Amino acid sequence: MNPQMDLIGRTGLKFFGTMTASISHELKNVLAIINENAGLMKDLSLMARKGAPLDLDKVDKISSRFEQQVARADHIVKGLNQFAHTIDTEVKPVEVDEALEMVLSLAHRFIAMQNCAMEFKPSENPCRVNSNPFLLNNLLWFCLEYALENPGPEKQIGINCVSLDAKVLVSFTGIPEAAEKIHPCHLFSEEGTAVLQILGAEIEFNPETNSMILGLAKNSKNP
Amino acid sequence: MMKVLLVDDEKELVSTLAERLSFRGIDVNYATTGEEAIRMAETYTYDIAVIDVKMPKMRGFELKKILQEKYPGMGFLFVTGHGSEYDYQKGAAETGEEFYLLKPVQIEVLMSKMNQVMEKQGDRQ
Repeated sequence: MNPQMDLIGRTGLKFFGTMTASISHELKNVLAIINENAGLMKDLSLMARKGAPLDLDKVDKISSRFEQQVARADHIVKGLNQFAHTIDTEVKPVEVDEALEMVLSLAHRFIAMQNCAMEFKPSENPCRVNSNPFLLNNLLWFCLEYALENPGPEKQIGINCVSLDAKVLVSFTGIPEAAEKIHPCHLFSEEGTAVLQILGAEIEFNPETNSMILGLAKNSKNP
Repeated sequence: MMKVLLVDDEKELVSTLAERLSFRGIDVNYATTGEEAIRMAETYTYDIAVIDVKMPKMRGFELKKILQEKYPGMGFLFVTGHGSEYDYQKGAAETGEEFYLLKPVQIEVLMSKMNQVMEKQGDRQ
């Protein structure tokens, strides 16, 4: 079997499961809000039939809530669709900023549960790598998961990308040196090491800046 | 009149649900964090707290533990956005929570469960 597909089989399903669980939870909340507002409309209608004046401003407000929740669900589903299609191509040019935005959006609910503030600053210049999109997303998630498990006392994680000649560097700040590998997570497991290797990526810690840096080869050797 | 505290980090959800329960004669307040719920419980006496299981910062079961210690007469009902029946069964079994509802919740079901919680609390006291 193609080593990438084998790796996707081993580690990718877990990643896919985590992301879809986070999304389904988010969608359940959207449905719950729509459900309550539909119920509120019904309540108002029943009261109006019994002679109570219908508050049209309230009806407008409820309509706006429907629109907001539909837009929210649409955004979630678009992200899910985009994510599902990352498996289509083994290797292609990927904007790392966009990949990060997607993973952050998919895992929004999961991240919100971890009590860490996460600030992503998109790069001013393109940070493009030629890589396997699904495994790259998987690796970015491993890094985010590690950062969430090992934050400094401020619990503030910063993320930014820089493009160098042959590499793109993704920095995760707010991770003190002492935290290195305390909670190993998937990033330093056999699976994480395999993903790093197959993508020609490496992890370094910089104690001076309290950061973990993911180095991504612009052209991975082993795609 | 039943006095209910709703706790969920989704403000649009909890505020609308509070409005609908008030139409049904329930005296209801809502909080969007566990900390806010604790502060509100210091000011008002609630018969029941309806709590979302998964909230940032303070989880639903943690909040229940704090409130239960301070207010032993308070009843509890949990709601969750866990996606599947399997998740629901697993969550209910793990927590031993008898009163556990899946989102989206039908208001008649919620009302019925709240009444059951009240009855159970009444039997205990």
